Amino acid sequence: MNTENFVYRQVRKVLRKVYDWIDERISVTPLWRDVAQHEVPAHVNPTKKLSAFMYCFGGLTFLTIVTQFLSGIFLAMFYTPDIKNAWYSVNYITNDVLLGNVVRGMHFWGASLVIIIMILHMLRVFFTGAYKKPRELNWVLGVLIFIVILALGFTGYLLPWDQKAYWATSVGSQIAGAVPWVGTYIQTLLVGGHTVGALTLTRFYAIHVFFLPAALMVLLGVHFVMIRLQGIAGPL
Amino acid sequence: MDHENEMDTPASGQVPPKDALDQAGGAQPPQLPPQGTQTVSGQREVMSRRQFLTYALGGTGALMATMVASPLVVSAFDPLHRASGGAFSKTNWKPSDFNEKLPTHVNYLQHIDDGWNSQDVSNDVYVIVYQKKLMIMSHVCTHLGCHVNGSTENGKSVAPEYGNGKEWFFCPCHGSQYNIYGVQTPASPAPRPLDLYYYHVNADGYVEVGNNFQRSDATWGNNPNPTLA
Ligand code: FES
Repeated sequence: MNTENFVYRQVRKVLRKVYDWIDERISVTPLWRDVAQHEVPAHVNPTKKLSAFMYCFGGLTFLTIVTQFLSGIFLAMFYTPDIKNAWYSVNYITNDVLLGNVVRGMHFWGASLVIIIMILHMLRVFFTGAYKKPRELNWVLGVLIFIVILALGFTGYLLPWDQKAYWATSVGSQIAGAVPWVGTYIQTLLVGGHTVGALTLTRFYAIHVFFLPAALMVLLGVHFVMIRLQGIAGPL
Repeated sequence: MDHENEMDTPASGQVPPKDALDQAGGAQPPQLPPQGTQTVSGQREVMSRRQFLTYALGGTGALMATMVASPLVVSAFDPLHRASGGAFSKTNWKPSDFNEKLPTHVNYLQHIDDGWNSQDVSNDVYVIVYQKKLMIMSHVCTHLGCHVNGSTENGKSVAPEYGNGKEWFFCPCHGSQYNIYGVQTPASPAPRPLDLYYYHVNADGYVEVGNNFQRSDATWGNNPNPTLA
């Protein structure tokens, strides 16, 4: 017991010193206080009222998005966006890479999970009226995030380049083609050519791993800054 | 309690003077925990509610983070547990195509399994018979990897042309020279003899070539391959 206490104190001391050393130079304390140290209002605190857990859906959406980012980064280490090799590289990830099926499974199930939790978050915001003045802009941002997430789902669906992926994209791009007047132009731009093929795959890959994640990070950042500026909406 | 001790005591009063501490300790019944587990104020040290929650949440968070991160990191380390190649590639050579006097320059299609991609890539090697075994020598200079030249004329092997007629291979990059067994001269920048390939002879009597392996100056003549019939 004594030695345990002693070790614990020493470790704390060292950590404290390291933290102080850094803090003295770049003053991180005010930074993280600004980000993290706020009182949780009683009406969003599940320990006070259990039903307040529904206020966690936004945070949970963010958490699953973070895991999607992580698993996606690691999948990109093996995946090839090329019509000859895409399916084989996905097959390699699934059957050969150590725990590759787990990493792919995380990304696969996580994709659906993000959408489910995000809808729950949206329902909570809707039914508690949290979108009302002065938070209309953050609702609009949230809808943009929703669209980006759905687009991530749509583009990611093509990447394994199996039958399901191919036909889903064929149908999806034809839906875009049904837009009056400009439909065919939209379809050609989306598909990157006149049929779903090599250019579609590279295009969807770039959109899936560069364009949309970048947009998502910006939108999420603004979403959070606005929560900080406006505070959490009051109780019903 | 002397005055000096009083001066050292902080104003907050959290740390009582040493005398007071001794008294408090002395007054406790013997079955209570010894001094070491007590705080300076003489109270038994218990974890505060806040600290407990911090640990519980931190621990749970760390566990969840580890569960997410560990399969990802393990997958990235996949190449470390993967043995290199191992497949043997067919050739159209018979052991009788080669001799003990000079290396013969030959080509074959090397089968390469690389992730999800398999391909047959043209490769060329120099083969000489030594102690009833084939020495299938790589064309890669052991200095910095250039393609070495053998002593050949119109595709036919001729007597050593380099190092005053003693060395058979010459590297055009930095002038490494090797004898007919691929052993470098002491003056060469190359640090070790040319690599050898594993091989076996299949049922039809054709040579099949596997991976290559390194030799050192001391082991240049060691050849783990099967003796020719
Ligand atoms: S690479 Fe052959 S001598 Fe340097």
